[in-house]
Amino acid sequence: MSLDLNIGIDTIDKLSKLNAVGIKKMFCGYIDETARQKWPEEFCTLNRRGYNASIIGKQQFKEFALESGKYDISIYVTFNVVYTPEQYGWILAAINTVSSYDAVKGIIISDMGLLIRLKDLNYNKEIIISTGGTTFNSSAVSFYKQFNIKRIVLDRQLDIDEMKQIITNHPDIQFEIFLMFGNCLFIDGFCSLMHCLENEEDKNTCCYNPTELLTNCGFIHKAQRDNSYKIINKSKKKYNINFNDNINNLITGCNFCAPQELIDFSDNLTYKIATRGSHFINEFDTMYPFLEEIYKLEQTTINREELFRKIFQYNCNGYGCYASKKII
Amino acid sequence: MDFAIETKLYNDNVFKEKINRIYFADAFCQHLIPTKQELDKAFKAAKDNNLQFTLNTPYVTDKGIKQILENIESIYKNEEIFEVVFNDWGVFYEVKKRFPKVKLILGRLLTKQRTDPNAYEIITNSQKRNPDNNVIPKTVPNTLYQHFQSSVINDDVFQNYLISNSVNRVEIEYLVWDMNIKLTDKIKATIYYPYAHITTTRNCGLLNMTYTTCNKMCNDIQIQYKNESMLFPYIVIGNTVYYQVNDISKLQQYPSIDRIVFNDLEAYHKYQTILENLNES
Repeated sequence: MSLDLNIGIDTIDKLSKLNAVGIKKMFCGYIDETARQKWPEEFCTLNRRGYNASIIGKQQFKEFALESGKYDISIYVTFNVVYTPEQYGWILAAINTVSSYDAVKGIIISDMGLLIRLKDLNYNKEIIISTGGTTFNSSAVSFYKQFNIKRIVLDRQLDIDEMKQIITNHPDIQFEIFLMFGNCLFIDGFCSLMHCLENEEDKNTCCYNPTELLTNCGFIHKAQRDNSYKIINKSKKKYNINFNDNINNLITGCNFCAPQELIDFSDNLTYKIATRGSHFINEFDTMYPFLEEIYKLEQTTINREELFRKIFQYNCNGYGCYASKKII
Repeated sequence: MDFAIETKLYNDNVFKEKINRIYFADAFCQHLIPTKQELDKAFKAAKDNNLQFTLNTPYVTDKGIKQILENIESIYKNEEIFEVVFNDWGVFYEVKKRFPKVKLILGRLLTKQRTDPNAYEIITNSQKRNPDNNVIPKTVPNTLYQHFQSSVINDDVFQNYLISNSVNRVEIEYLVWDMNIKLTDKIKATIYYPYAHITTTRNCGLLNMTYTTCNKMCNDIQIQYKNESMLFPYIVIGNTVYYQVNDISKLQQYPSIDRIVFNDLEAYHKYQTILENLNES
């Protein structure tokens, strides 16, 4: 059996690439000029895709949805950040627009104001709770079930055993977990560090940030690497605090070991590859040459560590991924 | 104004302070959930000193939620009315179902403010020229700044949901830019001082560069991250990153805020006089 993959894309041409491998689920952002002028997408104020990484405007989305329909690829649209009251009018209209297409099977959300509204409106497509919904336990699943949700993206910082518990307790719900680029030092749904996901290649024309860093979590990574931090002792106890390169795995976070460990739950699981376009690396282009191997992870005896090495050009050290308990 | 002190561990001295309320336990870390014995001791000390009691709870796995529910049960069997701050919708779901008289409070992780103080120059269009390529940074629209001033708590649909579930208090951070807080009279707000959270992780060993599982170092050490381009240092305490609030002089602009939780005892002592004046006015 192949993995049920859900892959983030930002342009229409990638649909045929997904189809070539046999992928039948994808997700994307949707914005329009009105919204991006008010809430520039670099700041993840409409979705988490970043600059120029969403389908833009009704016409472009129509073409995208029809093309997707040709390949029988299901679309899930992300409205997966938290909103403020003045945004709900645009968000609901946008959900209405995208949901009018047959190819769109549902939306991915995390905002409570939006979730309550969609329940009141009897929204008739699938609601997927994003990783921004911070689902860490079975009771949180019970909470979200009250809002007629179909699937929940489990938090990136759960380990395999913790996931198994949750999935076992809710056989009636679909779950989604990350593969590739799966990790971050912080918890997505609880993180308010400034993210300015500009396009690095277009830094001269799209530049809100005078530093070289795109996200402020980068300050912490950089300070760790540069040894520019100060330890303030409140007691005489000593701890061994030193930076080492284990941080690498946080950026890559392949989680390739997860499908094998979760094979008993395959019927309830989708694997998500985020592939943001305008992030530290071009995630889609990095991932695509290996997509077929990833797609068949569950059915082959592929050497996962070797696959990791081929993609990322260094050895997996097991830090910061689902399969490891080295840190948590 | 209601004054409270937050203490993550039991500390005799805290209960003698001139305050109204104790916030006990940690809001961000499952490893710091108190034992039943610690909790009982803290609850009793609060009662003996005529202090109101609020129990902080973090985001948790199935293991953690079990501990939290057992803890609440141990108090609830003797006294049903006390406050529980929830930072996890699973905790909210279970506590509401099992302990209907507990007063639930929406915690800081769920009020979803954008808190990073180092966003200030960008959202207020005061950022400097890029030294590497001499490019003048683009300006942001005022609507983005307004977005950063607000949060989901201002949404009346969400407020109605909270009220219908008997949640009448929300906990927020005091932002470094002017806040926009629009709450109905039925919901009050708490701020924390002087440490305001920005983000949190379960990968505590990576954040603190020990590369180990929990060693409770958060009781002994802070790490400050700062470079020349940052207006505010990031302060790591355990699994959470904070900034330090320097000035709460505009507090009276926000009538919904009627409680301050001091998460540092020294800061409380330093501001005691100022706060007493504030209280009188």
